[in-house]
Amino acid sequence: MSTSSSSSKKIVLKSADNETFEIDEIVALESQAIKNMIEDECADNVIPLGNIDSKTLSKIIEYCKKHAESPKKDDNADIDEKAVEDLKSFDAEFAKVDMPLIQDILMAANFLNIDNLIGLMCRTIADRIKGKTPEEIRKILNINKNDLLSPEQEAKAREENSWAFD
Amino acid sequence: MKISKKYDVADDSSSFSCLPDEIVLQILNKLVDFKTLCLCKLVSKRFGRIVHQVDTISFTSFTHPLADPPTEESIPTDILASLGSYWSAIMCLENFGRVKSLRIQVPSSFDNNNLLFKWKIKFGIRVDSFIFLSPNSVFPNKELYVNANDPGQKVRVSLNGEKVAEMRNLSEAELRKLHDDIPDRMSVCYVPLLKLPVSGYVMKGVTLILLGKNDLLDDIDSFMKLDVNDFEDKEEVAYSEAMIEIVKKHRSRIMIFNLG
Repeated sequence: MSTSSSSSKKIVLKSADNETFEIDEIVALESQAIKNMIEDECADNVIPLGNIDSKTLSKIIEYCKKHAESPKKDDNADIDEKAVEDLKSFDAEFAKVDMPLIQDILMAANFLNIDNLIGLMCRTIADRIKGKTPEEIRKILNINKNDLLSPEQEAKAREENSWAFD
Repeated sequence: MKISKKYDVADDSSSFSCLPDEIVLQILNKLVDFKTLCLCKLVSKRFGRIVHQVDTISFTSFTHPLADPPTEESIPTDILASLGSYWSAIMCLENFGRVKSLRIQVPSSFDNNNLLFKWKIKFGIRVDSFIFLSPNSVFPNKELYVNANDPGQKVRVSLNGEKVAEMRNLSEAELRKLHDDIPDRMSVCYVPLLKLPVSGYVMKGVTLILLGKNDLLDDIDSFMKLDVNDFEDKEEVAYSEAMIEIVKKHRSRIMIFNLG
């Protein structure tokens, strides 16, 4: 059980561009990776995140704050409909950002191990490419040109999947 | 793990290529739509490699596979040709070896495209259960009494199991065992009117048939988990909710037959 003093404990995160963010420990615990660090007592007062820039990190903190203060589904058998709806509309608004930022958030969420956020970002990307042509998908995701199929491979794949182009 | 940051988004090297394969698979798994999944094979070599690992596929055909029904004189190749794009789609399905849930929707009648025949399979090393749920009509709740246009008969069939993939490599002995494993108990139920508060649908004249080895009825919660966020469409939720509602609230209507 946490004592009252530890419940208000603060954690400081430092971004790649050396900006610091002071947040409640409970918010930081949304990240399984940070949670493990704290439990193993290998977290200093300041946790450096050398691969996450401040823009991405502030988005992630915004997400974790909201999710940390929302009642968890398994806390109570009576699911609070309003809280669920509220969180859903927050998630929908949160995901309305451009694709490069979505990919940055996804990469950072994967590093910090925040399951819900990984799921949300994957769903967002999936929604944006659903029903699109291969060319459009490449453009949306900014696919590396070195990874494209050779003209022969592409022709073969088009032939095999011709029905999908109808 | 080192994540390289791209501050310049116009940079030719995509940050997408920095995402690990399991994340890309998680994205592709959320696509579900079979058409998009097949088009993903053309996006890049990496997509083509990962896309075959998805576990959930939904395929909707808006034309009936036999829209041009074969005549008695048709030779088999003509029949295959008449299946056209439907056939080539089914051939593509073969490459997806890790599918655990497959849903196929095709029009059930040549004349009326509103009618959908719906079925869903969850594979296993053996078939644990078989569900058939068929309401005469489905209404979104608020439109119930104002909507004179019957959305048509929907039929839904599900098969549930544990794992997939192994199914392809079964030996003959295993196949015989599979045959011995057919369900031995059948439950049948008819409910005239079913209100579904969670999904907001109303179904009329619902027939439910359950075939299972173990007593599914007592284990409905673990068998069908109703998580509205998990499903790809609202109707999907409605069908699952209908099953749970029937088992929980209309138990007395259920007739059980032992088949053994």
